[in-house]
Amino acid sequence: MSELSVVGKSVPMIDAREKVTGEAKYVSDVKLPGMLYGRILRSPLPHARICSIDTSRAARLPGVKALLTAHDTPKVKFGEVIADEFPLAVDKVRYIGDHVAAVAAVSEDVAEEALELIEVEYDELPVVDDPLKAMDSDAPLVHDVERNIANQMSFSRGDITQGFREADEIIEEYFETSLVHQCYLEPMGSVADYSGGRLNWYLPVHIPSVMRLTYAKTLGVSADAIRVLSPFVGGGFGSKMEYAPHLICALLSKKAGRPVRIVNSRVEEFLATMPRLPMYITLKLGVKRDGKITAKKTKIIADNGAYTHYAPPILSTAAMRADNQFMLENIETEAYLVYTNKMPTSCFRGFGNPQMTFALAQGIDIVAERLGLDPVDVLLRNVVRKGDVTAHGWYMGSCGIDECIQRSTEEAGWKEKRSPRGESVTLPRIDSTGTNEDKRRGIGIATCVHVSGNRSFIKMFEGSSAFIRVGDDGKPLLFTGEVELGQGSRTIFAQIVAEELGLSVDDIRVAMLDTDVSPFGLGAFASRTTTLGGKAVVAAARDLRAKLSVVASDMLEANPHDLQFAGGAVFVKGSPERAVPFVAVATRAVHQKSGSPVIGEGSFTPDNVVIADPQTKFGNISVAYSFGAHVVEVEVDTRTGKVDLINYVAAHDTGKTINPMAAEGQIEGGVAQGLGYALTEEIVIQNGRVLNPTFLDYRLMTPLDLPPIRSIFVESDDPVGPYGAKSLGEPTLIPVAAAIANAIYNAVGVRVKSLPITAEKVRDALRNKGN
Amino acid sequence: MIVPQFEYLVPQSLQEACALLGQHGSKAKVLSGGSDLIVKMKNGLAKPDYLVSLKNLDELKGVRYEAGTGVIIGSRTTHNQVIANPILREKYPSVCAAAATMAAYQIRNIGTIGGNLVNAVPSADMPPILIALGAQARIVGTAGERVVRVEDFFLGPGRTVLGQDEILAELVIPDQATTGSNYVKFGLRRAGALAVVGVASSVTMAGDVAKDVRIILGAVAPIPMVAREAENVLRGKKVSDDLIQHAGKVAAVESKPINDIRGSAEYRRNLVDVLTRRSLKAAIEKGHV
Repeated sequence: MSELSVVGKSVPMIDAREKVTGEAKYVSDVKLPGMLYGRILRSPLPHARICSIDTSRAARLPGVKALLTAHDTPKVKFGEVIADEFPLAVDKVRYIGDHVAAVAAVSEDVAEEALELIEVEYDELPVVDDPLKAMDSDAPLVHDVERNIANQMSFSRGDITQGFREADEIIEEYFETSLVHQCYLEPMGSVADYSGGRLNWYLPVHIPSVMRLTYAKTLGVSADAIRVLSPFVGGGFGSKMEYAPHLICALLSKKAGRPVRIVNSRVEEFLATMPRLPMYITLKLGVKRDGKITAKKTKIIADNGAYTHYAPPILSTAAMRADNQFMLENIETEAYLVYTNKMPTSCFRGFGNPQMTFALAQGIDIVAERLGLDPVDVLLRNVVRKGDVTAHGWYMGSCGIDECIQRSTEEAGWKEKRSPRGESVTLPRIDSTGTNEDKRRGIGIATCVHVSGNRSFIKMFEGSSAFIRVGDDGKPLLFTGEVELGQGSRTIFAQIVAEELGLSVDDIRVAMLDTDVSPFGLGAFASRTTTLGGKAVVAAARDLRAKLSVVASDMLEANPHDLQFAGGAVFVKGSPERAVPFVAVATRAVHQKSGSPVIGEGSFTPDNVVIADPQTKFGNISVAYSFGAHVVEVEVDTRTGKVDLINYVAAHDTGKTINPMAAEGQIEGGVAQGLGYALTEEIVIQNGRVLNPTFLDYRLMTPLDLPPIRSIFVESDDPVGPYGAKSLGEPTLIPVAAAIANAIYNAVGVRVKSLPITAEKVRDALRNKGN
Repeated sequence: MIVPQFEYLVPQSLQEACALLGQHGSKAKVLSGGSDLIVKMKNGLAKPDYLVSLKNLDELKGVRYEAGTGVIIGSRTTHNQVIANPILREKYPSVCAAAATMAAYQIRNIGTIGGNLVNAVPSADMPPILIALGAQARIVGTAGERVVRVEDFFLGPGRTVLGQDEILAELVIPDQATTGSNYVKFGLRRAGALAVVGVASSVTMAGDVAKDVRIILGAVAPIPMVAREAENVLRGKKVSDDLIQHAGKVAAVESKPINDIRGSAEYRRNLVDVLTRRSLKAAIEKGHV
């Protein structure tokens, strides 16, 4: 590829205008003729036996068109890894918010009123909402599973005993991470329309093609009986996967014989969706005097909640992924996934990686201080380089972690600002109340590694496919199996098509996914869309170009291989003055085949990835690995513990940045979300009850709370990714909380090892230290 | 999350509004900005049969100055109007600054200063600074008008001295003599956060002697609380860092905070101590009018 004209340029999102003007249609805008409104009756108790459900009064309410209890639903448990959940609770409820019954009615009001008329008798059971207590032998059982352990794993590399024997310093620390919600703008929901013996389903989700298969199985129908349509999606961050209310919506539609819409309220989002797994991590590190890590031993206990979604692979990610940024030799890890009477937990940007990175990147900071070294030097002493294969079998085809560390620290002024702890200077700044003498500043760093796709996640295949259809209007229309959730994939793909065909982005249209038309795609997870989907789009565009070249070669009386596509035209290389417009070539091609569109097809199947061994977790699972280094400067009020954010620098190895503006958006969004994780966000649960199910006390960062965020792109030019591109979506959040914790320690010499690092916790730590 | 059915009434005068409230009694609620009331209705915490909207009562809007009386703020003045008002910006920037700590921009465009008082939540941001400045509430009812100190306006969480047929019409901040004042809020983020603790103080200086001192604590008692003991530490004394420090400690001891999701009682006491010191220091040094 010579000079790029569209790829690598900051192009506005192709759907930005539709979204900001409100024209874009989300699932809550879908309104079909005769559509009913569904509501779900949820358990008010964290753990109870269902003795009886009486829907007769609700059924008599005018306007109620269908009622569902477990009696009406298929007795097929669903669950992607461990099937342990029915669409509606059978016999027992396991968390506040568990699905008990459902109603479809002519309006939301009537549906709501009907719920109040459903009478359920419960027999309360003892509650366990702490995963550490749940493992006690006398703890109440959430499912019929010994000590509530849903899943466990252990594996080792090298010789851990020898590793610790070689160490000059050994640290052992305990960390806790919190239950946080993805807080996408658009709540979860769907519109199901059972008609003509077929289910047409508007599903705003990450993996529509795959969920169609899963849901067909649960509903007991063949896949062709379901058509999934992807509307605009208002963000997902990992959350919008298999979800009982989708099935409930479909079953209500089937029973009522009318379309049904169910969309969560925000309170329901906080009570009964799938937030991030809290993890309780014990980390032991051995290091040589020069900073070389000789051994890493980890024990993780993770809170699964009441049902299992993707927590097992998330736990295995936490157990090993962060290791791969370093050349470690001796590793021992054990991990447990534990049921509790809380909402189920599952995927959230980072997939277990932020939890372990919170521990490991602090571990590095702690050993650096112990050894009297700069943590930057300890990082550089251990990081992977291009061509390395890690202890877990990951092959680094490209690697810019060292450059990320160097450039982020340089940009942030690390050398000048990083004072040895305890020597922080009094600040020049005076705030509105003139209390500068109480404030201290500090700076911290954390790094990360992540995948670009994960061969082990959905096992049927790895790869992607796309096709591009051009009709006589000459405007390419791209169909891909991948999904736009707001991350910008349609724009990235349009840029790629425009690049390959010498058109501008405005000429390209990208279809929304429709399983009747679009290729089967694995979907948006593991930050795979640009890398794998992009490769397929490149292939489809080149196939289309080859087909059009044949037609254009006739028009130009030239060899097809000598043609160039640029500036909306086709011409013989070196002779742009004798060009034919792209649209004319397309029209000619269509007319030659009596109106048939020209279709370019492409797929990409990587040959260097494997499904990791289920026991040892060993194997190269991703086509490319991406890296990041974050450096943050904080100011801590030593009297109140309040942490203010002064400056943030995030360097990411993107391989190649296809759209810098979109990539900056990813970084700023990921950092903001990570800062909430670090400092303010937490679903607080007491006796199984959520105490803060609204945005008032579930505190997302506001724009006013954010520091200036500077993005640095390190372009390591991956040999596999399209134009060298790798992933970016998830890595942007992964190191944030650890970087903050390290900066706070640098400022005031206290380390809060449990998330979120609230002002009160910092104040407590300062007080315990004797401030 | 659906607002229940209600009848919507739009009186054309304050008298008519009071009459409607008298007529419908506890079944009626006053709608001003609605930023609290409508949310309560959506959550099923308020189920009025009648909403009496004040939207046509322009006499309740705006800020004016009357010599001999002081600055008069209509109860329907929105928070953003308070923040931008030139009279307040000149005379009581601390009132503007307190309003600016509230909620978020969009909510400050509809929420009103009167609503912030009548809603009477313990963490409300406007009462402490108004009490510190000795503000009074003009209340209109079917029987006529009466005036109470904002300090005496609150009875408990969600409860005020307003009778069934009464409306909070105006707030009056009397003229001050060389008084510095401010409101220091500790929230858990910079917008959309309720006060974990709020401290307002006003100090009238004569040379280096604090002639008069007011210290009002928010979110640490059922109603905005006057820290009388702490005031006495400084009142009539020559100010010093030690004395200010002592006043903070005393305020912390007399505060009556609770444990909740935003902070423990112990942490709140600590914040009262720190914030009282910071507020006093600033009020002594800055912002005198």
